[in-house]
Amino acid sequence: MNDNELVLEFELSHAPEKVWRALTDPALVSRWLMNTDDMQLTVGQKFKFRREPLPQWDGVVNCEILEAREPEFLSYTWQALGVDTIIRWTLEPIATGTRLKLEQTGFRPDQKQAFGGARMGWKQMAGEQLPRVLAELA
Amino acid sequence: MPEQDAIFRALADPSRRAIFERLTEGELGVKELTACFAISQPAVSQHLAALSKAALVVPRRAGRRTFYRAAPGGLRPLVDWVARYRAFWVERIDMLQQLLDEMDE
Repeated sequence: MNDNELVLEFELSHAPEKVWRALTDPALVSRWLMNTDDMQLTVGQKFKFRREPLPQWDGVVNCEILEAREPEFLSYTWQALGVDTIIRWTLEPIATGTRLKLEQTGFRPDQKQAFGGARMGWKQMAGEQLPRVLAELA
Repeated sequence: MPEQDAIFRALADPSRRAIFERLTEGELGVKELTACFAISQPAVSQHLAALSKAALVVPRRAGRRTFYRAAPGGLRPLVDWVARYRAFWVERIDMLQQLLDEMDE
C-alpha cells in the first residue's frame, strides 16, 4: 500500500451472499453507506450517491460500475469533491462469515480539482490540523 | 511532504495567518490589508511575498496596484483524503454490520 490508496479488511459475521445484497441493493446500501436510488449492476452503468449538500460541495458522488462478479467482487468508480478514485470490494467466505476487503485507489497529490475553495479549506484546517502542526513546528 | 511544510511554515506567523484568513474572504490590495492590521506596509508586503511563495495567495496587477486573493487550491496539499476516507469507511462498515444483523437471511 502506498500513500495514494487505502486498503481495509473487515470480518463480518454473515455469509458472502448476504453481504453482497447489502453492497448492491440500493435500498440496503442507502441504509449503511449513502443514499442511492439508481445503483444497478451493469458494467458501465452510472449511478450516484447523495448526502446533504455542504456550502462547497453538492453532496453527490458520481459512480460507474466497472465489474460485478456475484458474490465475490464488485468494483465502481467513486468521484466526489477532491477525489477521483476506484472502489474494489472483495468478498471471501471464512468460517465465521465473510472477509470483506475494500480497496480505494487513485488518490493523487497533484489532483487538479481545487478543494472547495480557500475559505472552506481554511475553516477546516484552522480547527483541526493547523494548531497541532504549528505547535510541532514551534 | 515538502509542500505541506512550506504551507505550514508560511502560516506559522500569526500575522501571516491573519492576512491569509482575511484574503479567503475576498481580494484586497496592500493598502487595505495594512489598514486592517496593526503592522507596517513593508511588513504586509513581506508577508504577502511569503504567502505567494507558498502558493497560498495569488496576485493580480491592476494598473499600478496589486491585489491579492487566497489561491483556491492553496490548502489542498494539507487535505489528507486517504485518512478522511479511512475514517469514513470504518464508520460505514460498522453500520453495514449492524444492518446485516437486522436483515433476514
